[in-house]
Amino acid sequence: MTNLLSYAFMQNAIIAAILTSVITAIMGTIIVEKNMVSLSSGIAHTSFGGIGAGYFLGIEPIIGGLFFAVGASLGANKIQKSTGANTGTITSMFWSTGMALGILFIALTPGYPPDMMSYLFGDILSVNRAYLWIIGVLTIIILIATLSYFEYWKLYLFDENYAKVIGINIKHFDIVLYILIALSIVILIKVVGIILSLAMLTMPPAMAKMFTHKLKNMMLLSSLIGMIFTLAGLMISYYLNIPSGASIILFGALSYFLTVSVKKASKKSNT
Amino acid sequence: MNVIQIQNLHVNYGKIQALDNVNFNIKQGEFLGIIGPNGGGKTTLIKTILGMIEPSKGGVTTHEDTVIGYVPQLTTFDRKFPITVGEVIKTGHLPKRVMPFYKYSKEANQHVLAVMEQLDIAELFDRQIGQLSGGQMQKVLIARSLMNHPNVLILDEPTAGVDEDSRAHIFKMLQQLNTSITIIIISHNITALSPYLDRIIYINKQAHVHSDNHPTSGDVMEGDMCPIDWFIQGEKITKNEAYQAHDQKQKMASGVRK
Repeated sequence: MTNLLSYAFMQNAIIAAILTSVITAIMGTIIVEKNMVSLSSGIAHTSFGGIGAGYFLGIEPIIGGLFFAVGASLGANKIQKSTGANTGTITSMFWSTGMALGILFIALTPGYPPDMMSYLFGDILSVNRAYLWIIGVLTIIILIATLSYFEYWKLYLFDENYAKVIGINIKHFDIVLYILIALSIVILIKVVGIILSLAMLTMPPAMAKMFTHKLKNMMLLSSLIGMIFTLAGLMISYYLNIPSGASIILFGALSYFLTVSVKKASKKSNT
Repeated sequence: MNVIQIQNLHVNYGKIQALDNVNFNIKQGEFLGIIGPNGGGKTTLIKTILGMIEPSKGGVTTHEDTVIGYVPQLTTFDRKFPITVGEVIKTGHLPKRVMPFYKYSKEANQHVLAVMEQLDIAELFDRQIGQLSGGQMQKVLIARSLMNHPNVLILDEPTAGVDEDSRAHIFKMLQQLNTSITIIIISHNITALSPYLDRIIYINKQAHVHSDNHPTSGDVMEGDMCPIDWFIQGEKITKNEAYQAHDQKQKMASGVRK
């Protein structure tokens, strides 16, 4: 184990696992409680178009993904508010358009097609120091944006209309939230990938909610659960030589279903 | 003194006319009921009074001293949301100018406890909202609305999702609050509500009913309906005809839902 920790790639992966757990705990709790899971999924898949555009234009693909994710996030919000269109419809539209653009850009990119699997399913062991800095800065931004206005976020998530009635300008919260969701998803792409990022945003908060009825505690507990998922998944991936994104999500899913079963069984035995 | 004046109010949603030339005043100390069929414009009217909807024409004028408290419908809440009763009520104290690292003052916390005592829900402070009955949740929302010391309280369907005993309890509680606060209630349940009301406004898009007679307390007999003039589509009708029409519409609406 000591030997394992001496590898730089493993040290980076562990730091990335801890930081992304904090991100997924806070943003995941907000996404779950604000019923934005499907919208977030749409944003994640739209970023695939940006990654393809990044390859096509010869820039860092994740930067392309970031622009697409933020654009999709704010665009979806704007379209929904101005047309009253169904969120599911907008999500599907962005989702498929993003994926189609990604495939188109890759096809148009000269030379051998790049390996897109790591963006779809992630590879935490390939996280380098520079990327760690990006995750670190984003974690700090999310912590400041949510904790400094925590009481307002609580009301915004619980009863947005009441916040409007008492005169709080919730438009700012809408915009900040959509940008933070886009940023979080792009960061998660490198760690668990586009397809699996939603699981990391939803499983830890869903599990934490079984044990607490306070928003702050849900975020804290979710953070701890996320760390267990990512670190355990990472170790399983290393020792069994299987893809890290898949092992993190499968370990998380197994833990979630076990917890649900134990909770149900203990509820039955109490009645 | 009029706390709220509604003059020549028109609200359109695109081509759909939700309110058409609504005119009435709400007097200080009044206990007012707003009734009408689904889609008749009740909620639009309330949202316009609260400033959530811009009128297409005309408008709502509030007296300079008017502070409005609002109690939304119970059914609009996610009761599984991770929040306790105490936390819900405290949010009523949040300043509208967003302040970083805002902490509730000692006075705010004391005010929360005092109102909870007054409404007989002090023991629910740490309870998660999903563990409350409909009646208890309604009281929690009323407590939250009282945090900004309103002199007008607007309640949207306070009887929906509440059992009969709790309903009567809530109406009596509102009657007590009415000694210092003007109360405006939107409700389908006119029969249960009418003994407590000074006046009823019937809203059905183009048909607006109002009574200009503000009755004294002696005019409202226990168990009796309050005095009111009824109009539908501009034609005056009797009270019983209006009630029958209203109940018939409710029955039809619930029949369609089934």
